[in-house]
Amino acid sequence: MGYDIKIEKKILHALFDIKGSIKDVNSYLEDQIGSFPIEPNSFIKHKNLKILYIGSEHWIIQAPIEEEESLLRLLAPNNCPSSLSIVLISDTLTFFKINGANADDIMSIASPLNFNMDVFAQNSVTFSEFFGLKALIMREGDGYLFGIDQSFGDMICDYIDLTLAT
Amino acid sequence: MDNNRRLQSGGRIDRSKRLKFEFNGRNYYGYSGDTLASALLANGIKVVARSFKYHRPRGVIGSGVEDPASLVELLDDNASGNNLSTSIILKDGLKAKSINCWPTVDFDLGSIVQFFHKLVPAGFYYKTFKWPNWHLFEPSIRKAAGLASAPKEPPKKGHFESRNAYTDILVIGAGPAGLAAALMFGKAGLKVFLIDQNSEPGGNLLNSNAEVNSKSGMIWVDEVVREIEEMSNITHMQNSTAWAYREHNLVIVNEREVENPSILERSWRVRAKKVIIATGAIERSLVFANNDRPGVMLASAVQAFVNRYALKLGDNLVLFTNNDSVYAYIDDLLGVGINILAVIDSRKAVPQSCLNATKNLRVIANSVIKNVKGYKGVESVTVQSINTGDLEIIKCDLVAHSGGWNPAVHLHSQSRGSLRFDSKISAFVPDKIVQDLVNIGSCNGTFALKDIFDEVKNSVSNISTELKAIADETIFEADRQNYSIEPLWSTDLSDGKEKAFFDIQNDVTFDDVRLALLEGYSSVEHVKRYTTGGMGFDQGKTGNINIIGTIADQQGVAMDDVGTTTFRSPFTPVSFGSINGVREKSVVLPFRHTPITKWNLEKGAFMYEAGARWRRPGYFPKNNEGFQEAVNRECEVVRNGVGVYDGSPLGKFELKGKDVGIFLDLIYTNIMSSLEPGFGKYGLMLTDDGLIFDDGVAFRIDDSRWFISTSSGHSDAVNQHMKKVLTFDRPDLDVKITNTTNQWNNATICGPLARTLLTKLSTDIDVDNESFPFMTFREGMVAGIPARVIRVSFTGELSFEINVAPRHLLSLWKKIMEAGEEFGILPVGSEASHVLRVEKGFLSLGHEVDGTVDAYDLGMSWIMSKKKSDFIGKRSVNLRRSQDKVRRELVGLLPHDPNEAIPEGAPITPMGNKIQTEGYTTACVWSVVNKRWVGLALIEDGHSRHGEDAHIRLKNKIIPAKITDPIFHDPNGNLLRS
Repeated sequence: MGYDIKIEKKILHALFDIKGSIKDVNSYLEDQIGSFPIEPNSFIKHKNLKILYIGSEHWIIQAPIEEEESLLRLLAPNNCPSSLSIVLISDTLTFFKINGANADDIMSIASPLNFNMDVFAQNSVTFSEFFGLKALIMREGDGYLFGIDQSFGDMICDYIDLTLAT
Repeated sequence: MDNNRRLQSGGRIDRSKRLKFEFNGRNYYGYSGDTLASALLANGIKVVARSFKYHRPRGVIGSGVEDPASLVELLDDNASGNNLSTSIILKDGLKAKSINCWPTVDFDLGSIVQFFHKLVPAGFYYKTFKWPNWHLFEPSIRKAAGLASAPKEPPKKGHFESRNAYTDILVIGAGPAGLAAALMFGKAGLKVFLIDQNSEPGGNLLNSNAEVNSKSGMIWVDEVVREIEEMSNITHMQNSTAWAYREHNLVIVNEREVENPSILERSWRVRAKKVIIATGAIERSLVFANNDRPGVMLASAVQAFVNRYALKLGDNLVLFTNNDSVYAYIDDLLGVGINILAVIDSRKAVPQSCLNATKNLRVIANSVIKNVKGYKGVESVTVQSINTGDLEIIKCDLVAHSGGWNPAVHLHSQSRGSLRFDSKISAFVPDKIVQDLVNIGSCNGTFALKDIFDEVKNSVSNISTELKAIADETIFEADRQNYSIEPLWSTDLSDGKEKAFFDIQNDVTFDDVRLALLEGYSSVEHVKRYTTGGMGFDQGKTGNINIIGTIADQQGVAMDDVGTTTFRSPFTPVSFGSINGVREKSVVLPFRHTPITKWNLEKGAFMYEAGARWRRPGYFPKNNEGFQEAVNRECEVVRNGVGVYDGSPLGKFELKGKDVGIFLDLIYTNIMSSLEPGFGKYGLMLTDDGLIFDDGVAFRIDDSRWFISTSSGHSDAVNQHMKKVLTFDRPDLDVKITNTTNQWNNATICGPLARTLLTKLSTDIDVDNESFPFMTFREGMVAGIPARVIRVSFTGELSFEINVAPRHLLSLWKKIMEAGEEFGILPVGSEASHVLRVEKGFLSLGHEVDGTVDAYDLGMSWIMSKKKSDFIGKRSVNLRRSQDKVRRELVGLLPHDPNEAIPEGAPITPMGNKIQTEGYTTACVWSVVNKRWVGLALIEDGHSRHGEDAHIRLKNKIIPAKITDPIFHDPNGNLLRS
């Protein structure tokens, strides 16, 4: 009697790290990709693209990996204003997608984060602990998406295997 | 043995489910609903274990977690060292054995120690085994200690799990108070966690005949539980013990019977807005001679075994009490045919309400049990009148005693709440509350059911309002049972011939406590440590209060002035596996992989952790090659051809902002701000006290963008350091830092043929030395992959660090190996890298940079800018060097015998004499270019001692070595710039 979950391991996403004041960010990016979230630890979705507000004057743009090239051209990290920092970081995080009836159980095993919907809403995102490591965690559909430092990807796979062992 | 003590009917066992089990190699059976203890008692087993110190025969004393005596070891699939038989749920095929006995529990040779008990009083170990050294005796004493060993292997099947949970209300205890509270909170719509350590809810109602709402207590329990189970906002778990109460209302719960059979135990970390402690009360022992004999039991346990497990544990019973509670058991005991010979009550006047319950039984007031006769069972008791001293012997086979009830204040105390002594019930009760919790029911000193339900109603109402919920108005009705007590901390034991136990688990006697007080240990904490009373797995649940009372009596002080010892977690024993959760096997320690790790393993690399949790290849042995041969082969290919190593773990950061130049000038000792785009410099970072913190390189991308590279092991520390500087020291600087350690992985090709190989790989970068000189970087395509190529060198050879996105690294690596085949390329491990850098005299963190050296010590004065007004550590370095004290400085070492290796870390002393060291060897390797062992060392005044001899002092010999310059290969750096 195991856990009823479906898990996709080690998924690559297009990721861009954005740092700067909201004024500078909006001035450079709002027209090109849409509005940025103003509520800390939340994200806004524009079609396939998510903008994650994950720290003071700190955002991550997340999109399917197929859109990395076009985003790179759009965001132009090499030519953006000096007051903004835009860095391609797609390979820094390896993502895991988990859903199914027991997704909440697995998350409660891995992380001390409070996943109650009134605390961690459908559009919430945060860095938190995941099997003792720093992870970027958000909801996706009826499950969760979390990103771990790429070098720890194999270790998280081992952790998941141990958790699901029956 | 065929359940001859089992009653034909009654109890909460399921007689249709017969379970086989093995104890001490013999087969028995019990029923579903039994604990191991009840099944053993049903089969007439009186002696379950031998005691900790004296090897006295011990039987079951309590019926739950309070039992201090019946520890057993579980075997086979359930292998586990020390378990209370009263807490083990009986399962088919269970195997257990007694602990601390040899050859058998019935005939234990260790019991001979009883004859020498006068020689081993409290403190015996402390006094006797201190000379010449405690550790000399420790192994044998530990072996003799009366607990089971840990299993040699973890359980073969299943695994442990640990979880987090958040809730509005955590109710601990599913007795009448906890059940009522959980139901009311649930009806109020709050999210509730209800946990209970027993296999069934009901608490004391499981064992008694009390009524709630004019019906049997257990019918009420069933109704409430049914209602609770239907509420989706209540999580209800039995067999789950709250064993620790931490800060911020974090309670740790151990769940032992998990719905998923592959999970052995589950640990819950529950964070609650409000914790309701409803943990009930624990009956305490009375202290009289031989109160540990099998057949002497807590009165509540005798009742529990009758009512819950349908056991008639004896035929002729003597009750001994100082309080009212035992009188409520009389009906139950008589009802199953137990002959109650007498009720011994130490009180001068027994309340009339108690006498009414005795059914004309003989009540001997103002008297105590002075002694129990029997060894492996009770044969008789000696009763003594307190007034006259007259003695009477009563033959019996069972003694049930009660010293009153202790509120289970453990969790309240762990939450840092204080306690006070309530003389009305002669027990410590919760006083000041520190965290968001409420104590209700018996654990709060409220024993009568009616009062308990009143307390629940008030608490639920207040908390519901506080949490903005509408309080439920359910009413529970019950009688108010009387409870009075006169404390009796011990009987008169002045003759001292027989042992009377305060702490049955640790074999702590009345005499031990008296001796501790005589020797001046007046604090209860000192008495605890001197006698070990209240230590161990039961933490003095039944006996501590008697020790405290005895100290108070003998010192003539109030109970509050004696106080209690600290109530520590765990409340009951918890397995390490449960605490650990799934952190076992491959994930015991964190590990990091690069995209090449799998390839390395397939090629037979010897892997180990090499800083910052990176699992890296040490070397790549071929066939039956040894360590040194493999390392030599890898070094030679770098010096003469081309090798490749995976430099991905190096820390990498991108910095952006108009003030990056100023910032880098602050954190590095040399000037970085003057670099032109495309160029870079090697640099040192110092700590505030001027010692070397990290070394690395910084490159300028454009006017406002830079990237830096740090050592692998210090990547996180450098990140923190930079953020600290920007947050606290220079918040005015416009610098934004992004960690790109895992955005750029690299394969570094190094050796005289590195350029040839890079060209063969196909690149749009002009790689000749003039276009692409040392300490510059270029971006372009290499082998069809977007890359950032950097000319740096850690080996002293021509090197190209080809940085690509990790998703491309394995592909690049394979192409390098394929293209390099004609040049005899080899992958190079950390060991060869170490040799190559030692030959060049390059520093390494953890070797030459040991937390005590500065740049001058390493002969790197050139990197300490004289032009900059300031940088981190500058003032400290200057202050230190102005003191003109002797410093340990980096030198090379050439052992006189070129074939003699010097162990790394070996001390250097003047002439090798046994005196204070003047330095130590930081590294020693077999140099493939010099065909001999060469070393590096930090030695006093080393820079001025080139040509002299140093003496490395080992345990069995002295190695002489010549002090030299620390660079053994290409001293002018022509090769790496080639």
